[in-house]
Amino acid sequence: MLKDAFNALFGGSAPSARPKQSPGAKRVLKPKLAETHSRTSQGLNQFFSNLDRGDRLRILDLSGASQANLNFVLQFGHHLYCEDLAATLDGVFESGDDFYARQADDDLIEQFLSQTFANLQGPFDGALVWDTLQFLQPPLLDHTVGHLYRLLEPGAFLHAFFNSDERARWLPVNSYRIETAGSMQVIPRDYRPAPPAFNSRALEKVFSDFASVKFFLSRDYVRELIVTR
Amino acid sequence: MSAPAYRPEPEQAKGSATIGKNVTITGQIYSREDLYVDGEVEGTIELAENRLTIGANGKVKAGIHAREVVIIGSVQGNVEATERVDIRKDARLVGDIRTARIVIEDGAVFKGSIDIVKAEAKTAPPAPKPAAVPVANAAAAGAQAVLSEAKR
Repeated sequence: MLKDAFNALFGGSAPSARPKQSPGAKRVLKPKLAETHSRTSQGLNQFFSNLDRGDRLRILDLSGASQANLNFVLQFGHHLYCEDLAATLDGVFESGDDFYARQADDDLIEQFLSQTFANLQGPFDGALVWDTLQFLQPPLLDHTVGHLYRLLEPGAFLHAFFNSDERARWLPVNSYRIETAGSMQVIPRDYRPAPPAFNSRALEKVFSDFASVKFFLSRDYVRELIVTR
Repeated sequence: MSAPAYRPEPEQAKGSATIGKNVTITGQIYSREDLYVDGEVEGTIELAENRLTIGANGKVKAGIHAREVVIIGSVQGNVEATERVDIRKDARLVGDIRTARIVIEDGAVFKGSIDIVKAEAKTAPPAPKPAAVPVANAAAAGAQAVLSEAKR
């Protein structure tokens, strides 16, 4: 409770509002949107360090196009592909009460995958996935990760992060802007009911086809991943 | 009672050719002056030395080649600009971009790849190509103009 109040007041980076989550429970109002803020990111730093092996690499950014991210990635001479995974997710499954239930609909899954991946031509040397995967339910998550696997070059890196607060009731839907190799600007757009948090073992299973998964834990209940294809 | 005065869109540069919002063109457009598209175009647009602006009402399904491209409306197709691509708030572009410089505002939707190429050194202009489809100032034309695909 104290943490929630702190976040509401100061826009803290901890992602959760945390009343218990049960279908019959009294509906809890969405928390107030936090302020735009910066957060350091070891995972992002590691991602760009790993890519420090020349120019003309092909980078996939799934946060949608933003000037900050374009400038940062293109300054190294890389080739950038932009796709807004979160916007497609909202567009196909809608952000209402049935958001998670609708993810079991095969037709909608097909629509989502088609809209997201049909025009993507890999292979890519790196993918910035940000936090959208945490809002995907199996089997949509498995399909999406499978597509990412196929789009990435062997040895390529993927950066993503997931909420690690098991008591979170709401998770913020954010936009992310790269500030430096190791920091990002977080722009809260909305809140969404929190799905069960992924622990390390569950994430290793999600990315079991990949060569390795490296975790970075942070104090703000975010579990960052660098996944190597 | 006087006729309502024609008020150009803010982005519309004076002296540029205009495809008005009630105009639809299917085919290939070549222009040696700046072009403002507020209608619908399907095909290709080439303005090698000039600026193309897709207005707020513009819906373009075409490959685009221009010196500078400003997108305020909607474009589906690859965009190649020798100098700069400017994607404004609420614009939508699905296609690949190849340009020397890109500006994208928050709120714009872009799906595709970006390839930054160095600005080409100024060279002598190429020999003019025969105009396949004449682009007249159609802003005042209320009727739908469907031009044939003159060059295949």
